[in-house]
Amino acid sequence: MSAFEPVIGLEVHAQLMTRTKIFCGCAVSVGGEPNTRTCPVCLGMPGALPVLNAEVVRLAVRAGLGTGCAIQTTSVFARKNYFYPDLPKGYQITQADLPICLDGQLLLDDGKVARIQRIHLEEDAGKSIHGATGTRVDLNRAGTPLVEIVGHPDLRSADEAVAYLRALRGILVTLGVCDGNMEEGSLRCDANVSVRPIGSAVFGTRVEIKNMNSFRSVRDAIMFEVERQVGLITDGDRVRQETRLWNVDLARTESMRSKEEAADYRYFPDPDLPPLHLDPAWLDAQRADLPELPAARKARYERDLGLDLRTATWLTDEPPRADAFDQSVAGMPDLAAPFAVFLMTQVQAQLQRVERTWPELVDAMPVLLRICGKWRGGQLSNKMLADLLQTGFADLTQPLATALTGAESQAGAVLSDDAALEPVVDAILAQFPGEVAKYRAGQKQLTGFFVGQAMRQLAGKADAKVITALLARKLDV
Amino acid sequence: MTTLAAAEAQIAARDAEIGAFLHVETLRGSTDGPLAGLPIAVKDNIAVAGQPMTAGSRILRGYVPVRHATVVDRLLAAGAVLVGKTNLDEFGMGSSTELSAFKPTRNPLDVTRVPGGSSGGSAAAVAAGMAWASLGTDTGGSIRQPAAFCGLAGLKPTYGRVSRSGVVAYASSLDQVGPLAKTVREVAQVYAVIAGHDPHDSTSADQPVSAVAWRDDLAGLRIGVAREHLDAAEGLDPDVQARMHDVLRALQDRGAILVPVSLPHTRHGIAAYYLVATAEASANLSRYDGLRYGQRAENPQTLEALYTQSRAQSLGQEVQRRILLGTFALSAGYQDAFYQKACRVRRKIADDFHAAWQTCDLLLSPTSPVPPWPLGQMTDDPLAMYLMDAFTVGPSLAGLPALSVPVGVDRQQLPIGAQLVGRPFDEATILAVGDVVQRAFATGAA
Amino acid sequence: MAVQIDGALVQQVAKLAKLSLTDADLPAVARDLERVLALVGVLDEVDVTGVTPLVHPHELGLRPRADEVQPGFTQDQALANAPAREAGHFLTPRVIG
Repeated sequence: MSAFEPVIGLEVHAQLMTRTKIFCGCAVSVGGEPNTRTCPVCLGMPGALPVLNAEVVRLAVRAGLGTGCAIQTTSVFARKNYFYPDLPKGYQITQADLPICLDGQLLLDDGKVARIQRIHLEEDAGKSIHGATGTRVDLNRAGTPLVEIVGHPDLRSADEAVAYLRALRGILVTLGVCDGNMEEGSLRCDANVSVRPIGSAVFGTRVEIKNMNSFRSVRDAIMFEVERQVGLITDGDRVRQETRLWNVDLARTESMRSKEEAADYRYFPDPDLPPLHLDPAWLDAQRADLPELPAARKARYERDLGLDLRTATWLTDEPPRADAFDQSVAGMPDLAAPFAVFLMTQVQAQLQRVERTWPELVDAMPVLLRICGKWRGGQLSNKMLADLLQTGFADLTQPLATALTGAESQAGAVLSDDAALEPVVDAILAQFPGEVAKYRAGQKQLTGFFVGQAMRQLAGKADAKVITALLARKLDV
Repeated sequence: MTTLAAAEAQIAARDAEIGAFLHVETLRGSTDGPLAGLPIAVKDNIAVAGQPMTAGSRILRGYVPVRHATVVDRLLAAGAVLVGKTNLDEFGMGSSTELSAFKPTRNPLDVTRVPGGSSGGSAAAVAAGMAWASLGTDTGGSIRQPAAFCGLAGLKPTYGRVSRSGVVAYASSLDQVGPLAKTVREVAQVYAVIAGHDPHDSTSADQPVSAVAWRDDLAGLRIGVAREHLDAAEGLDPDVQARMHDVLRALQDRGAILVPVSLPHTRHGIAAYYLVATAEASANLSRYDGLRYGQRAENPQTLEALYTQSRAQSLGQEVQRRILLGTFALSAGYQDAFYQKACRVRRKIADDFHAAWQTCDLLLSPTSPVPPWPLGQMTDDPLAMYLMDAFTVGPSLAGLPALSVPVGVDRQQLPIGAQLVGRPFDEATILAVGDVVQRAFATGAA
Repeated sequence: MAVQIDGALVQQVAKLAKLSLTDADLPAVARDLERVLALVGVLDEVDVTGVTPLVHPHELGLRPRADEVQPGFTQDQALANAPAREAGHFLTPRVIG
């Protein structure tokens, strides 16, 4: 098994965040009544002609700039010819020989650089729904703008593939190119997987895997496929070049019914669309308009805020979350690192319990920071903090920021003045004379026991540090 | 001048015999404008909302577009009255209008002969007084040759000059809409309305449309004559050849200077044209799959059967022939040798014209090498018909404006047309000169 | 380029073009295609070394449109010309038969 290494390249389709379709003025939308977002162009009616959406160009260029591609000042649209019910014209408009971006790269977490071959623009197809009476076709999605980002086969493990996809997603989301939602299909990933003996310079027969709609699926599918291929080879069999689908329920890749004939897409330049020329001055303006990219942001978190790699990566993965974080901690560098950890642990734990999502949290970020500050400053005990977060997150009747503010005011103030706490401490010491004796005999770790007892007495609403200080004063004389 | 009432009367009287129209229906637009009240016929591959559009094909039987083509919007806004949709060779693929799926159109000047094609219905409608003017489409000569065959003026504008939005595509890099009318001045009147940039067509050019400066004197104008288009042309009818020399003399009499030029790739034009046009057509016609509109085979059991039966049953033989040729020309292993090669030769052809513009202002040639032929004569020999486009495909491949002007009749009283080819976007010059030529031969100077 | 057109090649092209040809049609269509290819064989004379293919006659560039929603079709308009429909969809025989 270990004598083989996987060779993996990803092809990622990202839906561009435009208002309208790539070649017509129909609104881009998810769902809706079938065939209500159509016009002669996206239905492929006789005489209808494509007109390119300028925003599509801007977003593709941003994707290219964000991945270090060379933006091509001339690119050409081509027709890819095949028949399918959800492909209205009998051809898909895409880019073939002259795509809009070439030769980029992605920096993975482990420092590896994975190369991007090309980014090209194309139109999405509609949806076919196969049923008992026949196949129903909804063309609302037909003409939705996509970029396809084709990576070189530079990846050597399922984890690396996931890291590549994460890095790419982070860039696309940061740049506002794509919303990055894999479940809804606005980010789709196909993987070309082969294996070869370690040390071999030639590639093995490659299999394309489709239908992976989460990071988890990408990882599992590739791991499964690598094992399957290695199994075939070690059994003396050979890998067949084919397309396989990931079956998430059965956790395996399955062969697609093989097509009768090899596809011949007969690509040729679309005569309806002259070449797309980009003005170098406009390109410079686009370059200047780029925000901080995830790799730079992550490096800044580690360097300037002292975050560890794991926290920095986690925070960067969701660009809106990182943006909100940056905004809230501006001017308080000391609190930044603990706040990041607070988000990744305490807040993330809440999200696993309740139906809230990170976008909702963006608005609540200032409140969360205030709560974290109080907790760090001792104005909230651990117990109070846990209760507060639980109450706030569980209240789905109002926005999170409002719910948390409510829970915060109910939490009240922590008991931290000696006058209030001293009688409690005295009572605990009186209650446990044996433990007091042991402590004085040298078992200093009993401090925790006394603090715990006191906190229990106080329902957790006390500053443990003040109690610890009181105990020290009384026991260490 | 043909009025609406006269046109309607002629349609009632003559169209049963001529077969110019596939659909007769009056549609009025604005009440005033440069074409106010003028009856215009529209080729049935141009969408008029609410009226059936077949493009001469059974596969589109029953199809009714929801929106007007841009050119139709412009005609209606200019006050034109549309009188109906005219017959054509299926999807514009033909030179005689005998390849319509519905009926042939006859030449009103001699009903035993073809009106030319593919805009034969549009030409016949005007020639028979059933419309004042008409719109045709021209991919490799489909406006110019029927105009010549029916004794009319017909303009194929510069590629990109007139919007193709709402016009059924045959070959997208060649198709242009243009007018046919009895006189060059009437052609210019319609052209002025339909020309100009349209944001719904990405190949539409944003170039100013200049007014035509009508003139009588051609002093200093340089008229290019290519040997390959006249004295060295293969298969050129002697009457047609002689008439072209008459035309050249008439132009010289008015001060024009004749300049010999060379278009060395003329003999490659038809081959390049058929490969480019059929390749584009093979993709353009993929949308006729029996799914969203048009005819579907009865009870197809599988998707594959739906596609292949619908298309094989409802597309004509010539259309299928061209789809097969175009598919082949694009297919793996053959694309370089056929489609790509044709596109490279296309550039050589365009370069020949560009070189000619160094020494002349326009080019003159016959529109068709022969006068209109009898119905049925060429239907069994598609290749012979392809060769009839020898002079018209070059300007199409190069995207140049080209005007066919009637220059009298031959010994059999059959009309002859002269083709004037201009620089890109310089319709104004060929219209002005065409007007001079037409007036010189207006009294049947045969 | 001289090409031998046989029935298998014609069948393959017809399949790509979704045109059904019977075995009886094949020889005639093959002959037909061969004649057309003989006609276009004249292109072999032209030396096109270094010549860029011409696709768009005037080689003007694209002018993209603004990203603004334009009124489209209602469902009824979209389906108005459809030979078969079901529940707001176009309908075809089952893709997988």
